[in-house]
Amino acid sequence: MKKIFIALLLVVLVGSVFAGGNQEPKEEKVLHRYVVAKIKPFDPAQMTDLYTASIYGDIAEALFQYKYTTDTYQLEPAIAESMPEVSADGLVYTIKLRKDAYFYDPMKEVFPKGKGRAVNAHDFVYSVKRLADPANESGGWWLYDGYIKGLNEWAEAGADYSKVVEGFKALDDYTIQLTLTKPYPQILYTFAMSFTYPVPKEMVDTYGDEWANYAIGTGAYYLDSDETIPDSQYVLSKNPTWHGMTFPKAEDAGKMVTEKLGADVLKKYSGKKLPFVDKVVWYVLEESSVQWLKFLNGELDYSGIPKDNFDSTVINGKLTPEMIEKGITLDVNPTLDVTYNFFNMEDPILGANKKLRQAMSMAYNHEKALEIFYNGRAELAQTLIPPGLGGYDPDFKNPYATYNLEKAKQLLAEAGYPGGEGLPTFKYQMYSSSSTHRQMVEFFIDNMKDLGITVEAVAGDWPTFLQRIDKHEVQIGGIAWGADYPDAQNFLQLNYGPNKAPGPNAANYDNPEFNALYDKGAFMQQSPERDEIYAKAAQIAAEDCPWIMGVHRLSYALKQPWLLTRVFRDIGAGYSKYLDIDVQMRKEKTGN
Amino acid sequence: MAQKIVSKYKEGKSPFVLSMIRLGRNKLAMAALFIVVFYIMLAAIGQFNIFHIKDIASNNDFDLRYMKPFQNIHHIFGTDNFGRDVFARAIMGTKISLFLGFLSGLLMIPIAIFFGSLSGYYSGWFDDIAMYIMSVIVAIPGMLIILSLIQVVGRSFFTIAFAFAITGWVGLARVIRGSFMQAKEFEYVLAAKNLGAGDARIIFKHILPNIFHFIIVRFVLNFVGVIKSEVFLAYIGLSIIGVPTWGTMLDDSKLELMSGNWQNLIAATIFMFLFLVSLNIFGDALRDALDPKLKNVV
Repeated sequence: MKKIFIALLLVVLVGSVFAGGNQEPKEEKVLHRYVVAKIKPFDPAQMTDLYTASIYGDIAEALFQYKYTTDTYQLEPAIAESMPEVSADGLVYTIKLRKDAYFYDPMKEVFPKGKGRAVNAHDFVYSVKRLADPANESGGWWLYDGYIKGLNEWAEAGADYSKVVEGFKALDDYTIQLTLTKPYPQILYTFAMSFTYPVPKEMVDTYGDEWANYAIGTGAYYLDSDETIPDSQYVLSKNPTWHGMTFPKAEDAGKMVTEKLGADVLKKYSGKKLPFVDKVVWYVLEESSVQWLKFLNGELDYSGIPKDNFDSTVINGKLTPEMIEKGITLDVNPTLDVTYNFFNMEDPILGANKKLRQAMSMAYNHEKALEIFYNGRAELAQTLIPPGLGGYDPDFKNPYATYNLEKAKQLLAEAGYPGGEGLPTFKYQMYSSSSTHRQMVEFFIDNMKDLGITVEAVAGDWPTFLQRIDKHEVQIGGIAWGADYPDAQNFLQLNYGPNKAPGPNAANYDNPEFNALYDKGAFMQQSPERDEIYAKAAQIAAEDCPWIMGVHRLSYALKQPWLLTRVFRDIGAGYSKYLDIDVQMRKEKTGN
Repeated sequence: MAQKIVSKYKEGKSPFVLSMIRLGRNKLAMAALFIVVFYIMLAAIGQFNIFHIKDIASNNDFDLRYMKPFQNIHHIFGTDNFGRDVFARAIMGTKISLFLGFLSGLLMIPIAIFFGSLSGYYSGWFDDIAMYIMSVIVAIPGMLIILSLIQVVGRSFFTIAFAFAITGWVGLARVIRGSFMQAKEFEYVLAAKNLGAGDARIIFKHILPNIFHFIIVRFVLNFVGVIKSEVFLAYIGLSIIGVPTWGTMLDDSKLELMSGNWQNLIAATIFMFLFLVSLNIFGDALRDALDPKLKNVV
């Protein structure tokens, strides 16, 4: 009996070997990405940080997403079936939803079969109400505050979820009607942001207060809780119920993206079914040295360059030969931000004298600041609009955003203060005690000293800085602004008169001509006319010098040779689905 | 006619002079003193802008950024991020360090004498209150008090010196208090009392001179503490802005080391190290020389 059993076992074993021998075991494609800070709970209403949004963006989807291969940031439908219909007055938006975007529950606790129901209009109504609900203290509420008809009133009346909000309602299960209080075309961008990812109400009912520790979305991947180690690595696996999308057509790609990725790559992937990799591992790497070593070991598919390693990696704008030999490539892209020093335009001396401000702007050594503080990893800002946004004029050169001490002295004399005589000591409000910030302030003070103007630093931390700006007490200060959405209006609002502090206009700049252009352009749909209005407004502000322009920072990233389809995107999330890797090449290069 | 008493002995040297003679015999202490005096001269050079040192230290020359040490006779310790001469900045840093140490010592000593002498001499309710205040200050970490004061009042020479004084006086006050408690029972004090001397005279004329060596030594060693604390403050970004100090130089160096620029680090460290070692050696020797209990040891 024992012999028969052994013989049977052998037959089974041999059989299984032969059966398996006919099939090549399919290599699992795993993408290795990283974030540099710990992840917060997955509550869209609180998703104010880039890192949580980056990971959650692979799991969940919004109504719209950004096109992957265009040079500028353009929206396309994600859960929406098509781009919305907008009424002639720009106030009513009708958004139709696709019917096959199913929630996927990997734990099978909320939806016992895993595949849940399709996302519907009521889910979005619920999500937007959650943003407005004062109890949630959402960091995304400012995007909607005052713009959606009846939403503020709904929140003030006690946020009763059973009551209908006139301006954001479900016409049927798959149609949303949005009614605005005033034209606000930028609202569409907010429907691509992490704040508006739909959450199934069933999940909140099942898990109670703990619901934000779970992730149920409609995206290309789901959170694999078996392999995930919180605060260390988040592992996402392919969502078997995803509605599917295809890689953008080669002919739709922008010129710059085509140059970077290569026409052949775009052609090869054109129209291919997404996603390409089976798993995405997101590491949480708070230490830049760990991130760097992991990248050098081939354990990350791309990486930013830590500041401390920059000089030893990029020499004269090029990678070192060792890096090139490994096949690593450098990808430099402008980011949507601007840094600046601002004058308080309500100050009786600074605000009243344009030539004084222009003189100070020209005495500031923009070119050296770029070299000293950014290792050249930025480009000098000419206006407040960064490249890549409609309204950015590549031909415009701001005469005051360049160093010219002689001209500055001349302007100062014309302003009535030759050699700085008769000027009081100005106060520069600091916001941090970091070494870099201190050096930047010292640099500013030294530059002004050369012009004959005395500036004194006032120490302070971030909350003090903001508080003093709000009270209009900051005479001169320095700050940066990063885009919330890819529309120049998000930058122009920083100089818009009615947005004076405590609004985002820290300089309290108020020029009726600028304001009129802003009022006209900011609420127009995207068009060349609107971009022209934006550009003109930005140039008026540049001439008035409420700011001393700083820089638009550049993103420097390194890419491993086996990462095939990476396109830099400064805004949006959910891009893992477009990324593909060559597993064989990785194996050859790294040995694992 | 008053009778003149003529001693058959020659008039002896005062205890202070004897102490100084003992100190003078200590060669190491003298070498340390020489270095300390040298630093004081450097500080004076900084203060009075001799050799235009102030202008050299704050002159930006962006074409000469990060020049390495010992390569140019004009920039012996090299240049920093803004192309400023690191040697000149270290000298200017000497001025700030000495100034802070001196000012905080001057502020601290009267407070310590006031609380220490009165609570030691009178005891009773004043002692209770003074001890309570001292216990409270000692219970809170000194750096925490300094940080809060600087955050609230702002950063200037005076506030930083004042912050050091506020936290530094307790140790000295306790020593003075203990000495007063002992001394008030000594015969010379009882004799003075019986002869009708007032409290103020006993405190200031009789007891205080006998314990003044504690104060001198503490004053010298206070420099060490203040300089170290200033460096720490600057390192976390809370020192005086716009003037070179050893602390800000070290703070700058943390951004530069990875790119191989150690000028600031070396200059500030050498300047600080020499000064602190010399001060410590001199302070210890001074204590040994001034302490009457140790006079037979040397």
